Amino acid sequence: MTVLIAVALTLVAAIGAVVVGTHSPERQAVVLSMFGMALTVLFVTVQAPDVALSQLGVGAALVPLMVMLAIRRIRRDQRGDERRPGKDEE
Amino acid sequence: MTGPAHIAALVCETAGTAVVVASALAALAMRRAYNRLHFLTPVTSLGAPLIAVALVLENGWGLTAGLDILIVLLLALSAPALGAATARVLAQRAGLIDEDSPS
Amino acid sequence: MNAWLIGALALLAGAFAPAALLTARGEPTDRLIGLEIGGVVVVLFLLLLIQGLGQPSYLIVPLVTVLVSFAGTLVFTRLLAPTADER
Repeated sequence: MTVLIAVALTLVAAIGAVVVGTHSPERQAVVLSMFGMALTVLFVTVQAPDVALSQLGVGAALVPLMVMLAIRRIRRDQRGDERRPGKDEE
Repeated sequence: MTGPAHIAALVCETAGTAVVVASALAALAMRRAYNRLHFLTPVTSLGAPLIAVALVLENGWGLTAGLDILIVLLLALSAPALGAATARVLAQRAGLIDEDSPS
Repeated sequence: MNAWLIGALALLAGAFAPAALLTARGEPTDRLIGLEIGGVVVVLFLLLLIQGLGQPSYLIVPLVTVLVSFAGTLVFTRLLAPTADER
């Protein structure tokens, strides 16, 4: 058991470092989703399945997708500003 | 706990784990994304069912085994859709197909 | 450590780590493939771990993981697709 917890902790640390070291936000969102999965693994390994469930919903699905949505919206707005200033979409 | 069913379960578990590990390492060794995409298939259609068989042999028929089978079934059903969707995005970004081509 | 936990450890070190390495390199779509393989490996790891711990009530976690990773990856493929004015 101790070995499993140690490996899971190491993976969480490594993937967290990768998230911090990635610069492009699009790529960061994908790695962030992977980080959420690693945290889920850690929480189930230390026998906290309810924490793992909440982490899965928030960290692996909701936050990365909202980051992606925000990036896409910002890019689209910037492109719209260059072409037609003052254009208000939707 | 040393009946023939337990031995068979351990054999299936070892085989399934080996398939999954080999596929992940092979995907890592591939250079192009299109080649990597193929290694999702052996994991979900060979490794996962082997692990499910191992769990059913160990637990006997019951709620636990049923839930295990349900999870592996969902995995096997969802993986082809994911592979196709990812391949489509790869082709779109490479400019191979149009954005409005049927998915 | 019983056989199931050893199998789970093998999956975590031998399959989840390579998948994490795939998500750490390349274009966003290349990383997406690592995310897919990682999601599948996490589910199988959780199945073996729960069998090894002898806690079948935890099985709700891999069940939710399958559904969340399926929906999440599909939305990722939607959002990563190039928009009409990018070409």
